Amino acid sequence: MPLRPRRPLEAFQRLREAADGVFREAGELYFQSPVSPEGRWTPPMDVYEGAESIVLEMEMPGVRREDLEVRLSANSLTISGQRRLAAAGGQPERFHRIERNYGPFSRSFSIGVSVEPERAGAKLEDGVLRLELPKSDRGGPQQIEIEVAD
Amino acid sequence: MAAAAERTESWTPAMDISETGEGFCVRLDLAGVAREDMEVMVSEQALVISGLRRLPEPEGLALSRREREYGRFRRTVELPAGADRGALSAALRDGVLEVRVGKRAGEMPKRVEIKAAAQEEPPSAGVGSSEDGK
Repeated sequence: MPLRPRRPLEAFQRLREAADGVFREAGELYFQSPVSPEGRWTPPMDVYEGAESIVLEMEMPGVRREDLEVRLSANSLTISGQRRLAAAGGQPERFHRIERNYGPFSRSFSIGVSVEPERAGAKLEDGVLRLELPKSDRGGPQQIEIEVAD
Repeated sequence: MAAAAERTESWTPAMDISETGEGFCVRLDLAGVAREDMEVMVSEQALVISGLRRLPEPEGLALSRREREYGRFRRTVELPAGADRGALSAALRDGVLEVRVGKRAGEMPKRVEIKAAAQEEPPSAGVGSSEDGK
């Protein structure tokens, strides 16, 4: 009988990967919270998988295109940016209630399949970032930054 | 301004409430909610913002991960005494709904003019004046 290294976390990790589908988030085995200890927040997202592409939709209402950055390689994706406090017509505002998140956010993922970064599309509409990542058989190029369209 | 979240609804959009010299401002995160699927109602005491985020059903794609929330939402904001129900406006931009409520003129802070103290004319003879009984 061949010896197998004992990895107690392996089963758990496999379960987690199955639940996450093709996307695995960096560091999520350790800590998952809407607001991290560094004060960053986590915009929620949905991921869909088709025969030829992976589609990701992430909510970021009020985030401006110039404050958003999408970096993609064949197997990894990072979406980061920040939401600024909107000014009420330049007038000083006194807040009675703050539930919305402000400041920087960043989410990084490893992708379980290869994608083609140069054919990827990104669109920011009605506060939702939609990424379409075409699947690829061959290895992709180095990490690139994707232009986000309105 | 007090606010309430109805628990019967399926999700609760995050909301900020602020005040400026001219009025109140309510902002809600409604990413991906169509303008025709939201409604802002105002009653004597409250502002009610409700609507629906439709579940997308993209063709040829299977759901792999779901974190976003869908379905009906409703938030109620109690209007403070100084709110002017006649001065309301709502705008949707980049998935943020902003509702502005003006303040009634009577509730705006007013500057009180400070006059120099003038020599008061002695009051004309009236009933009960002590000089009458001289």
